[in-house]
Amino acid sequence: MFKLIAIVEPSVLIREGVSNLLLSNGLAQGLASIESFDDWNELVRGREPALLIVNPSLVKESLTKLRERKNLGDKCFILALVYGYFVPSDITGTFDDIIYITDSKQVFCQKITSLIKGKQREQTAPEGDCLSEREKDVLRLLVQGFANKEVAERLHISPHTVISHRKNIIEKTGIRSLAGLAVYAILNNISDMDDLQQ
Amino acid sequence: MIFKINTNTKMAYLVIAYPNMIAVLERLGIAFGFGDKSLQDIAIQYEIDTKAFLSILLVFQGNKEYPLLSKESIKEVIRFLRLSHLHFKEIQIPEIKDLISLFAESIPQKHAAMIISFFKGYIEEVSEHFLYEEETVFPYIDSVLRDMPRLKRYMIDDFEAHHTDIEQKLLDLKNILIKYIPSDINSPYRISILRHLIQLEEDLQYHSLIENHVLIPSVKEIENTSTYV
Repeated sequence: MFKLIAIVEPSVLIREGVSNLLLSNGLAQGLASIESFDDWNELVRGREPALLIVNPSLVKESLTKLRERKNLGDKCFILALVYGYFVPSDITGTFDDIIYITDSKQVFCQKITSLIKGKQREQTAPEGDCLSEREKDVLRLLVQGFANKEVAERLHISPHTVISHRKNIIEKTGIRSLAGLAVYAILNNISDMDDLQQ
Repeated sequence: MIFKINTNTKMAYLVIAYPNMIAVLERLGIAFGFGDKSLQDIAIQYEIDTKAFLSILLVFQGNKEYPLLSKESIKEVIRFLRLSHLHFKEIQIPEIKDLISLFAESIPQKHAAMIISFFKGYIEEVSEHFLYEEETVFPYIDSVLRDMPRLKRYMIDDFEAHHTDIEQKLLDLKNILIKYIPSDINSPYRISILRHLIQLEEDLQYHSLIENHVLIPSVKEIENTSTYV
């Protein structure tokens, strides 16, 4: 379970719903939920949330800036809470995962627990083409021939997240084709020859 | 430096100003040593449709405006495109393949195998693309030119959409050579391969430009005025 989870979401119905789920499933020791960042300082008071669930419409700046301004360590996970069926492409990729309002209880809990269980949140490399651990996970599966959906299932993340990881991988490496990415993966010891279907 | 080319322009002058045009002469089998001959002179000597010749050279000059072509000229452009395919398949690409094999001797076996297999995949894709053009697109254009009934309702627009991104694989290979094959691999072939890839990329771009800006607009024009649909 997470020591402290912060929820920043304007709708009280959603706030209460999410809080309830977190508490009743033993996912959080402490919870702090507010309707906007205006109340942030009061709420957090020197404590550092391990997880922030936020409505992306409240995030006016890059997540890196947000982390800086709100003193969120690099170790804090940030999840987007999304109402619509369409996720603007600038959201995906920067958040650690996305919670959709249509997610079932199961899926919601799964997403939270996989963050708890999963490796410590990796530091975001400044720029350059060092792929993050997560991106390597995605790449490994992609070059083995798995489709986005299958990759999502295996890694317990949403297909949108897989797509955005994929976009980041392409941007960082400059390589777009699957065959090219396979070569990249082998050269960088992310995959083995035997893993690759040919 | 863009100046207006016309059929009286001296061929030699053009080749010096736009060295990329050497590829055009090469593919049409035009021998160097033509002194002060003009475009027109050379076209007549080698029995090349003058307007088509001019349009192709305009593309290599980086011009963006091309006259619409007559049926005869369109046929000539297609002939040039077929010759280009041959050149890619039988000269440029095998050259690179050979260089890659030589390069492969300086890298660990498993990496070499990956790169060779990657390039083989690329060759297949490119060959498929050329085949598609030769077996589907060009015959279609031929039927338009002869105002014959077409079997399928295949408008030339489909061709534009079908221009697959074979350039992407080339780009990927360049990135791999430039960034990811470790710097302690000291083969002289790496740079040679890069240069060839860059040239191939450029030539393929000109090839696409000719198809998209010279061929297709002219064919569309004729499609619009033809009897059959």
